[in-house]
Amino acid sequence: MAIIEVDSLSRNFTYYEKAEGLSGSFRNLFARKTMVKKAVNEVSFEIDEGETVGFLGPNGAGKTTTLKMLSGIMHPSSGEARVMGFVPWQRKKEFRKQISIVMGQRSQLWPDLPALESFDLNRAIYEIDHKEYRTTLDELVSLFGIAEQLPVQVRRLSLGERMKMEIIAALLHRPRVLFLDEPTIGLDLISQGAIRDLLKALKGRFGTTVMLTSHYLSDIEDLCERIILINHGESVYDGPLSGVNETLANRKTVRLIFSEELAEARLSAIPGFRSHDTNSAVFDVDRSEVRAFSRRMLDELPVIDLTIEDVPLEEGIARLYRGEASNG
Amino acid sequence: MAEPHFAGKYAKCLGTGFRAALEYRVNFFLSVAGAIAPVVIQTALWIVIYGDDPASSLFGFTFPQMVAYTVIAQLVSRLVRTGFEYDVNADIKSGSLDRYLVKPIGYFGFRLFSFIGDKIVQTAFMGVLLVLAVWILAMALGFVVSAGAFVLFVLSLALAFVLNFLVFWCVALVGFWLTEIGYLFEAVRIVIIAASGGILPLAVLGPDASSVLTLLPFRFTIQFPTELLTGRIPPESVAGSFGIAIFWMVVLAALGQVIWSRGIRRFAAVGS
Repeated sequence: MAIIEVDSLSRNFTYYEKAEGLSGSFRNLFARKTMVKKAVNEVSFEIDEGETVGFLGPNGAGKTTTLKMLSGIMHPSSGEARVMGFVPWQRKKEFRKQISIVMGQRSQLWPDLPALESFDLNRAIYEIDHKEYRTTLDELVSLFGIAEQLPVQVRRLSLGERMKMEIIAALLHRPRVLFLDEPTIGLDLISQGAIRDLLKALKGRFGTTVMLTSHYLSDIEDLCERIILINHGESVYDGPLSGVNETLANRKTVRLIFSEELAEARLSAIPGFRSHDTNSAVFDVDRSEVRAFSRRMLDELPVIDLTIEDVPLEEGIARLYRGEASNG
Repeated sequence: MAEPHFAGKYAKCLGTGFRAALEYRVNFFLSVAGAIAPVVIQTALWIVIYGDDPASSLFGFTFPQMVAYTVIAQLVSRLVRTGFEYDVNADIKSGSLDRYLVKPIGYFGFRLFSFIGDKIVQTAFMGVLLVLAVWILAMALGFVVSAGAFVLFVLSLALAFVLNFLVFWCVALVGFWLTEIGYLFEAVRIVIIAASGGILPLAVLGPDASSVLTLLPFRFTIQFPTELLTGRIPPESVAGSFGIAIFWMVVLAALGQVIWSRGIRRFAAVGS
């Protein structure tokens, strides 16, 4: 059964165009040109209870705006959404008690308090039973391995430690729906991996439905069976992660290394040319033509090495962003 | 079990304000120390104005009464002083208001109870100073405080906290429409302190001004508690004054609610 239902959800932002220079500022005082940006445009999807869905898109694609609408912080311009049957932006108390949102760029904790006190404040706010609170906290603290940092003021924690605390704080009331907005942003690779491992360990343990946005594909690869790709406010792909490449599976990347430096003009004249470096070049080739293409290259150019690869996931998604591949 | 949980939630907020006040006690003491200069300057001024005749009555105050008023009004004005409006403004501006909106707690309640928790600690600190001040005043000027006056003073102080909270709550919410309002807070604060009798007794401003200001909510934040402690309020008008103060509390709370619901609609519409 769908726990999150989104139907033609749209969100516009209006802003004012400012003409350049002093005279422009002056003119702006009297007549401003109103501009409309479609941050989210007619997005529709459904998410079933217990699913972990990755919400991907470049900066400004509308990921955070969508999560803000689904968590009730922001009103949509049009369209509908139901989360556990509630209209999120009505912010009914019963709704708020069953969701959580973690934003990588914005702390949910009180910076002056130790994390433990923030947790205790959350216990009171979410009206969590003391015993239940204790059990959940102990479980999470041992899983996250941060018992020693509990009495430390949050603003003195490292970013990675803080993020662990943020996630614990978000899970104490065992929400049915968890929104994670860029939980690994700004973290070094090791901390990113640690957060990912934790989220993986949590998966299935609480039966929480998770919607996760990230820039980092590895976050999504590890955690989500399904991804929704959004670009310029519109959903461009919705399906299993493997499908991203399937839609691009008819393409291969051919990488060539040469024994000498070749002129760019010569390389760029070859169909499928994508990029080149001092003595290497990359080509995009249709799967059916790979053999013929490779043979021709070996004959015509001073090739010393040749590799044929699937289009990497990042690349596949980047192409989907650009609208090169169609959904399906 | 909904009720005790509900109470527990806000009791916790109160505890948070309580701990914050303990954490930042130095800040409070510095603010109290800042009261010394105006008290000294004003007392010097009154010495000159009353001249050789301290028993004479100016604006209905004898010299000892005027000095007692000056000292106590300064202490009260430091005590009821708010600061949460900067936090509210920062929450609106940075968007960290989000974190309260997604939780099952009212932002108003959270701020009010944190503020009260904060004030309970400060009142305890201030109680010591106040006793000291009253004792010195009694020794030096023969100023006497009755037990009844003290009880009324404490009651009026509680009312003053809530009233001042509501006034600055309404001012803070202007942040939904204007982003840089730090100066507004200070400008409003100075006007309100003057209108509250925090600098001079309102009677000094003349009968017309003072009769208008008597009806406004501000005097209940400083002058009213001060006059109760100094025994200047006739017993028969105490109940009526409390009535007016409570009336203003209701009006300001309703006004705050209206501004909040409009502001939050704007906040959710504009985003941050």
